[in-house]
Amino acid sequence: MHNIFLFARREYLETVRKKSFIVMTILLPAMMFGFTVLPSMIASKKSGEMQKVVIATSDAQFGEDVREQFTNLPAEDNKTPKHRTNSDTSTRSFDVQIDTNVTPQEEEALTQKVNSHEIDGYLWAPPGALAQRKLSYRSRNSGDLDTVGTLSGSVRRALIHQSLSKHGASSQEIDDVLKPVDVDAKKIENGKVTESGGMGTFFSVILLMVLLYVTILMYSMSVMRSVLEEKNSRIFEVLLSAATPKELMAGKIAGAAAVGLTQILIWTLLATPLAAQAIMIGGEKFRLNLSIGNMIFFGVFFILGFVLYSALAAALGASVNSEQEAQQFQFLIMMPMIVSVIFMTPVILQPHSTMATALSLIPFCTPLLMYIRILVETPPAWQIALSLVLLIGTIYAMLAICSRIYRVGILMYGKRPTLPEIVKWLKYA
Amino acid sequence: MEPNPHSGVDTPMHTVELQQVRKSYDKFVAVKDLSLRIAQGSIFGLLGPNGAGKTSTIRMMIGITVPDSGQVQMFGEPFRRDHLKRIGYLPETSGLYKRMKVSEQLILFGQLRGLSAIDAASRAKKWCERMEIADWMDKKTEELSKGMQQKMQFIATLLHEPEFLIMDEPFSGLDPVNATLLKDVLLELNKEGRTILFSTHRMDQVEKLCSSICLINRGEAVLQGTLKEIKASYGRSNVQIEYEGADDFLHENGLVQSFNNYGNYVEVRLSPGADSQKLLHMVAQHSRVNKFELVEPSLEDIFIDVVGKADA
Repeated sequence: MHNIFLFARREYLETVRKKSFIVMTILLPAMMFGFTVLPSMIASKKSGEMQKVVIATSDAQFGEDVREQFTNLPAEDNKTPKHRTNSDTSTRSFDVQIDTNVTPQEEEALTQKVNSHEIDGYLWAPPGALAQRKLSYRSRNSGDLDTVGTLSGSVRRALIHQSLSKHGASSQEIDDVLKPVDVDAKKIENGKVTESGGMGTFFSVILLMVLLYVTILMYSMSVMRSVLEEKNSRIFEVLLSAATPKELMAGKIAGAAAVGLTQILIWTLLATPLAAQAIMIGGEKFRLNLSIGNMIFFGVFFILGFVLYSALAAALGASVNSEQEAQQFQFLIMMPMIVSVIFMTPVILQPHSTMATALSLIPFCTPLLMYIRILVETPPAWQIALSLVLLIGTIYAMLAICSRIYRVGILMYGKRPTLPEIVKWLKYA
Repeated sequence: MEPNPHSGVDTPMHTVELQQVRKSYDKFVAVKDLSLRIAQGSIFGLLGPNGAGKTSTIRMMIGITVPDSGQVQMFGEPFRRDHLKRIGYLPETSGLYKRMKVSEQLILFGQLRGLSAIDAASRAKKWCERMEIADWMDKKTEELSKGMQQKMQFIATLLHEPEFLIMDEPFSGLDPVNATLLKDVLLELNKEGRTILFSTHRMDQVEKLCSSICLINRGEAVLQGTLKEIKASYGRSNVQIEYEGADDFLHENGLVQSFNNYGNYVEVRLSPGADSQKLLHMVAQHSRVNKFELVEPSLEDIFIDVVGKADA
């Protein structure tokens, strides 16, 4: 036990002092911040510029209505209302002109104006198209779905507005009818409606999954590299004259797990102010769903998943002779992790399906998929218990097998062992 | 040399006793039923060409691997893991953590052998001063030269003051000054009563240091005993000849069994029963003889002779 502690401490100190640890600790959250928050920040910044849009329609009143909807009222299509409100009022601004001339010559002229950057785009709504409700928005950037979406919502509301006023409804009544409806997803946990849910849950699930996936993968690979390095520096001969291979392997895994937990702890501490920042920028959708229970499960699944994968990685590191050789076999370790990630979305959407249940009970997928299910919709306790029993049982078996491979492998140099040879190692006394 | 597992009182104590140990990897037999005894307080040479099974033997001795059959007795008892606290092992290739500081690493090795961190630190400092690497204690291991790393590894094997030291090619990578320093320390430790096992293929070192040897080839002991006995059994059957002129005599099959040309002189091994005077007469006929001396065969000659015979 004392030796395990010594090896774990050595491993921990060496890794934590490395520059790569510090870089990774800063870089990974920065990258995740970059992939999630930054694009929406940039998108909203860009539209801070005034966009010049022309509505070409022969019906001046209709054009007026569209402009009013477009510039003043929130559009609800495809977005959560709060988010739209937020970004529309603060950043999006349009200069909308109405052009009642819908001759082909004017169409050509407007097209040239777009081309010469005089305007950003125009909505072509001649009477025929309007009757068919098939308009087109022409701009240099056909991918500006946001503007198109807003426009189509505005046109629809303008049309509703028009037809309702024809039936004698007052402006106030029409506004009431058109008021957007806000449907918030709330999660029911232990028979109580909680504040969390919807985008918040989805975002937290993705965030925690990426953390779990990246840290398990990264540190099990670092276990493999460090075994390989020790094997190549022939340090095992010295160490084995003082400790058993089991102690060595246990110390290594414990040390690396401690490094992983340290990193997660740093991130959690960093995440608190960062998340607040994200909510300020991105609105409600970035509200994280990090309850104490979720974090405890995170720790449990991290440690169990990590031990399972790093035992495999240690055995792999011991049975090859170089990093190049190791890379050929890394996919064996990564495969179940990648499968878990592939099935992540179906499991989030239907956490109670037979497929989700079955997958989350496969020990190699349990750390990621059972954890997702717990985050999204807490599965029956017996399923969690069963998955943990299966996982711990597998870890026990894997440690027994891997420590045997490790014990023989670390003293084998030269030729890479074949599979039958590795099977034979398992039988050595 | 009859192995006696119940020895201890009437016969001299043996630090190590291997009885018919065997280790095979797959079909390859690395060590074939090897028996040997290392007397307490002796300097013992485990010799053999590359791949003879020296390292495999040592690994079994200290429990890194388990013999397929046979017994390992350590300090008069069947080997137990806690014997390791009384053993120091210097492996052939240096095995050190490259990025660890010299002092930290030495303390770690001391702690692994059961020392407290404080004891390990003070002993490490003392030894680093003795081995002249005290200035490097705060440096990372990878900054040290190969020779300094070898000295550091040497210190790591000594910190816990082991009764039994296993030195696998300890002088490799050391210049003559440092090799002498290391040799002096080893002799000093031996004087204190510690048993030392040398594993090497450098015969000259063994000849200077060891009292007993075991020569193994292809996993089998081909020659063992005290150095004196072994040399005596070979007799003064070698002749060193310095000459100028033709070397026809070297090919005289009746007299010369084998020879080794060192450039400045030739060492000839006489055929069994051959008369050295006949050879002298023959050499003198065709060349000018500057020196003609009967000598004991060097260990190297014995080694080449024994191993060559086995391979033939």
